[in-house]
Amino acid sequence: MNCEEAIELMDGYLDGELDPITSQKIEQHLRDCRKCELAYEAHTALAHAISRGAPYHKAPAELRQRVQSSLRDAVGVRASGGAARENHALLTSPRTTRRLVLPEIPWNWLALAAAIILAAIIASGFLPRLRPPTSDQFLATQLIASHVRSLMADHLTDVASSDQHTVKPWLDTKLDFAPPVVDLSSEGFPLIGGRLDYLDNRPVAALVYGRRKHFINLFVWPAASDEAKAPKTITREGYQLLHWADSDFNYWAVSDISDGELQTFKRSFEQQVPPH
Amino acid sequence: MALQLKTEHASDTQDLESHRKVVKFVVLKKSEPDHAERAELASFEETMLPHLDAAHNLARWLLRNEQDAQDVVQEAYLRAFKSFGGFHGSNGRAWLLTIVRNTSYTLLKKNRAVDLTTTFDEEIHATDHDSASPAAVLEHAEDAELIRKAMEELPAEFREILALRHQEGLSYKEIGEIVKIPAGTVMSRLARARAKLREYLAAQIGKEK
Repeated sequence: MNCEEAIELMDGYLDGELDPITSQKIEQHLRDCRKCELAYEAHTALAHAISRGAPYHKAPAELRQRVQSSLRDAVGVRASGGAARENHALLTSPRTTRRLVLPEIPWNWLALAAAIILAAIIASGFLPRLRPPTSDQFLATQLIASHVRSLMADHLTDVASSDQHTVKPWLDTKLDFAPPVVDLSSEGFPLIGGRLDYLDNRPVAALVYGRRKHFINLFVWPAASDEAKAPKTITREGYQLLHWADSDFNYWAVSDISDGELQTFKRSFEQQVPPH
Repeated sequence: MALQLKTEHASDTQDLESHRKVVKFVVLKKSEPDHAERAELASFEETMLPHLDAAHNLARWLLRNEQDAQDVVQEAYLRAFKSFGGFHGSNGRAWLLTIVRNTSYTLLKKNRAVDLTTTFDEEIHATDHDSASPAAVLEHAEDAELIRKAMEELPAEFREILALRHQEGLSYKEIGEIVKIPAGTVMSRLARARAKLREYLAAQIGKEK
């Protein structure tokens, strides 16, 4: 056995995980090679230091109670919707059950109420308009959270560079798609860098642009259908969201700059992106 | 007219009340099979609660945050209880830790996609076994706080493998099952984790001097 092999197998040897024959070969080598013997001693010392020194995070007492009570709740719900609690309520003063009137209304009454509400919604013609925005609203919440987190956690970029030829290859290796990356310094939106993010149940590219002292997060991921969509604007909690799509990608720009400026940003971006 | 409405309303209330009693009767009947549920819970708690410390320790190292760790452990126990029927093995700890790990990663991915990306960079920094002075590391080996700091800086896949090996004393085979990698990969990943830790320790020691 040579030194290279010995070093490679050293952790396995140290942990007693090698077969007897290989172990013997290493032992032999350590007897013959002073350098590897020293390396082995350092390895062992480090392993012991980790075992002794790394703090073991024991579960606090309240966690045990929390786990146990949540398990009990799960059993209660599965069995009968809290049979034990209801029995208890029957035995005690009936007045205490009055607060529970709503949950105790038989399900067919609730179904009737639901049917009436549903009929009202359909009659008002609200439903067709309601549905698509809901998923967008949900996504908008995620986008804003992601934008805020990127600023708050001081983790705006994974790769900080104003050079699109640095940012783009970095993102390409981390994602299963190749997002377009362009620097817009000449239009007043300098590229600051790129970041990986996770949105709408998939990894996405986040391109970070500056606008004076403000930041723009541009989230990019492949479009589900290959038709371009009309741009859409959402204003929430003081943030501007601008969504558009081309034949390849979905874009969501999030920032605290004005809608007009965000529209300018979109136009500049579209002009610079090479046609597919 | 108004009077009539009132009477109708009163009779409605009467109906609701009697209906409610019927529901309660059914519920009482249902409490019979509940015994089986309770027996299952008792058996689950007996098998899995002894591993609460191990579950919490792994979650705490992965998430590096006490509140998240507790949430994950609670969620993992609920998930484990739901699929407890499918558990026939003898290694309850490894089975539970697999669920804790999966739940932790779900949260890590959801909350901090960025946190996981650090692991990719490990491939770029080739580990050099002799970069740190063994003597210097040995000298500070007793400093638990130093080791904690260095270990917390490691990527998630290194933190978990060090915790599983050094704190739970699991075998390569058990670790491989939890982390879903072959035993040979466990060895090389553990080697890289230790080398990286030593590198961080050496850096910390250098800073202090």
